[in-house]
Amino acid sequence: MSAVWSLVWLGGLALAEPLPSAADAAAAPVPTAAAAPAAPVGAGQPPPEAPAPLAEPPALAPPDEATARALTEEVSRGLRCPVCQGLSVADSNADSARAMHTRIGELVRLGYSREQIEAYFVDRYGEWVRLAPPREGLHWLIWLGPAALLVVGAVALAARSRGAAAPPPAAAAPAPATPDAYRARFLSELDDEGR
Amino acid sequence: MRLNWKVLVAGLLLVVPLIAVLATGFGRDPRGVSNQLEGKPAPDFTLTTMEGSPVTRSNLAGAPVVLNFWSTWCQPCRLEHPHLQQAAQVYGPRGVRFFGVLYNDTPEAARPFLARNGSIFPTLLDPSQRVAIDFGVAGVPETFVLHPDGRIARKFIGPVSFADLAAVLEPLL
Repeated sequence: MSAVWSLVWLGGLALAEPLPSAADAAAAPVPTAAAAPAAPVGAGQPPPEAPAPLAEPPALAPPDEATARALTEEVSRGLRCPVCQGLSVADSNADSARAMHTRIGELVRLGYSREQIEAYFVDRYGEWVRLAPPREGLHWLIWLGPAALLVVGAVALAARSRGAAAPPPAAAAPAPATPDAYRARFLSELDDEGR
Repeated sequence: MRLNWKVLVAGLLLVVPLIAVLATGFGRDPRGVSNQLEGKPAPDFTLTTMEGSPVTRSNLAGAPVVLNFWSTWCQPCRLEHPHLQQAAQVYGPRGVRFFGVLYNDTPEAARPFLARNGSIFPTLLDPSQRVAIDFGVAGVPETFVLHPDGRIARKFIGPVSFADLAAVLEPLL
């Protein structure tokens, strides 16, 4: 059984072995003399175009600047930086993460809600882009499962220890093994060995 | 030894789903990016080429489009560059439109690279990475093949070969 699962696992790893992937490429850029990585993106280029709205209208009125900043940070903390390992958009300095942060800020200032912005990114990057699973439907299993297992384990343990604390008298009755009995058996077995 | 069926069933109920989850999870590339835009309409965009001409996605409808996000600092992009050039040579005359989109890079870096390595299709500038995000690009290279009706026919993550592109483009022609 375990051999089968090992094979499944190894097979999965082999299949998942990526071509030099986008993440690899972005994670390990090889700077060249021509790349000038220190130059700010967009320097000397046309100014960025006006923020493009999403297909649906914003759910909220455009917020004031302080609310917009707070909401941008909040949404950025919940979304994954696509080129990092387990870092949020808010925590990463990668260029892709900064671009996502800017895009989140634009959408927040247009009045889009947290849910709308998350849906926009999930549509493009998949559920993977959320750092934590949403609290809905089957995902509740992930949120509540460990705690539920802990409770079940504690209850089982409590039931067991209560049973052990008060053993039924019948269980205590057959106790033939006194030190003398052991001694007699030991000596007789020694005799058997000697023969 | 007496078999305790209750313990066995409870154990299996816990362990089998866990193994199933782990088996599925280990089969995935943790850094793999979703291809879920495939089959959906490509996001609209208007970008300018390095020469300053605007290119709008809606004006490209009716022809297959190959959109390659790349940068000069990305080694796999250098590997795939000749394949894209070859594909553009073969499929350009058959009606396929090819575009590069410069990702997190500058035209000053791209121009000498293209002069050295060949450039038979235009490169678009996306300085704010807006279009890259709209396409769900997580890094470079990523290549999108757009159906003539505007849907995303295929998303390639990592370097593409001529054969990869031919296999997707042939049915669209």
